[in-house]
Amino acid sequence: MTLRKQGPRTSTLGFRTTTIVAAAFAVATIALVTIANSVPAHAAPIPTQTSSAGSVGIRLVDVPEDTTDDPRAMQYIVDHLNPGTTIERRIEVSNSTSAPLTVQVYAGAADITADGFVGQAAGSQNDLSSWTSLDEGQVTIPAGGKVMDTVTVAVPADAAPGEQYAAVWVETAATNSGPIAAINRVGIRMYVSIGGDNPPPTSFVVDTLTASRNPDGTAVVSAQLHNTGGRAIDASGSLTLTSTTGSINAGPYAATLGTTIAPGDTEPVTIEIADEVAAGPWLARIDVTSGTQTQSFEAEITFPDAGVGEAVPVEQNRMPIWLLVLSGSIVLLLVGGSTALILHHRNRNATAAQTP
Amino acid sequence: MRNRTIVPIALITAVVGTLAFAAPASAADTGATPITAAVAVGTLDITVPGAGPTLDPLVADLGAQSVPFVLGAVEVIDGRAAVDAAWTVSVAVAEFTIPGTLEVDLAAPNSAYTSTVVATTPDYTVTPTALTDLSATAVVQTGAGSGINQSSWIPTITVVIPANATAGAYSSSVTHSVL
Repeated sequence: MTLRKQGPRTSTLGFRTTTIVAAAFAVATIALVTIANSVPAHAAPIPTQTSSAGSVGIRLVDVPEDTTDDPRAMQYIVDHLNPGTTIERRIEVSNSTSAPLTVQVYAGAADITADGFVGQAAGSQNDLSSWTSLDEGQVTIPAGGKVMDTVTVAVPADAAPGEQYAAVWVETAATNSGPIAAINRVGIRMYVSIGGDNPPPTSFVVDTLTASRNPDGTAVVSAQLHNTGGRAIDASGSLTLTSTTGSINAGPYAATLGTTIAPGDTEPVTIEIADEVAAGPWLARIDVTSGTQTQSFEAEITFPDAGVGEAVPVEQNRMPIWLLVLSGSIVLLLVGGSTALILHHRNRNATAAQTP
Repeated sequence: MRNRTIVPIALITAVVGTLAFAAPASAADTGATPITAAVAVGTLDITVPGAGPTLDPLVADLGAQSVPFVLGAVEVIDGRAAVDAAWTVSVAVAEFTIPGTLEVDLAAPNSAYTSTVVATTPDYTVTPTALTDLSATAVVQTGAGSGINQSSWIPTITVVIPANATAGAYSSSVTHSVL
């Protein structure tokens, strides 16, 4: 990953500016794209278009009777649900363009940030969005028409309590020509609070992996394990190394932890590599287990010749986690233990309450 | 004991659907059974983007080139007629598809998102936020106020094509999401 600095701002090609103005499309937004050399005098002209050819809209059709005094409930999916509950809400998707429009309809993760209620990028999921499904994931709306769809929220029996946020999105197809395709989405916010007596969520992440060498040359990987849930964790784990350029694998190497990490706290976990390993780069994968829950994190690391290398942020392996949640839940039921469930996205309360 | 009031609020051109609002009964109904909601609010709309233009290949240059892409107008039409008619628009820019090996860096300070306001509804506040980092989803417009409102703007995405970049097609996608 290299950051590139901006080069000299003068161009050997002089003041050449290439401007391509799109032909106006009868039913489409007029778009104008300019590619210019970095000559400030040739700033891209701003099109004067003010009207669009039409829009895609979404609205909530059903509102539960016990929330009619809540103005938010008329616009948004607002509900308080117990684990094991399933609710349905109809939505209406409309098309004001003069041509049929095919859109994707799906649920995605959302957050409340300093900027307000903000939807995450397409493909982002959290617990609430993963419990939410649409009858029709793709609908074609006639010109000037509207189509109904149904949102189903099925809260699992082992859902942890607390409020969660997501959105039901309607997404237009990408424009398929031009250098920058445009995709627009419009959504309905979801504020769903989960009640019940389930335990708070267990959740943890590895923030960074750092490769280093001991004075005797032994390779060491340090992981920053962060308890992002509402319960203390007793973690164990293992590390495997895969060469990014070839097919060499090393490990698994056991991680010695033995520490209990309080909610909100971060502790380093050190893994000594028993074998002699080259500098790399290696794709390091660490599996961390606490109770019935295992999560995997990956990062590309390079061992320094000596000393401590750079801390590398990790990527979470998302897909296997849900399988692990599932198996973890089954084990939980079988042993009747009082442990918890992954809610790796819903850790806001715990982190706020337990600032280290 | 139901007292059902239908208040047609307004119609906006290009907004599909009527706006009707079934309010609960007045205070005289204290203790009455909750009224079944027959609520019909208007829609929240966003522009359907048009087809983009074709483009000549970028001219290779010894120096890095700061390239502004002026996109088609984005329009939010909020027909929900809500007391708290707030919305946020966030933008996500996909990694550029590149002809060579030099990546287009979307992180600060090489990238920018700016917008030119075209129109907003009077008495409704729309706050644009310029971005200097396109590597993560970020909020670019925040609407605050009440009632039916409309806002449109023309976004410009600026990225730096690195020095000595290969000539060819550079492409990406920009997603505007209103919530």
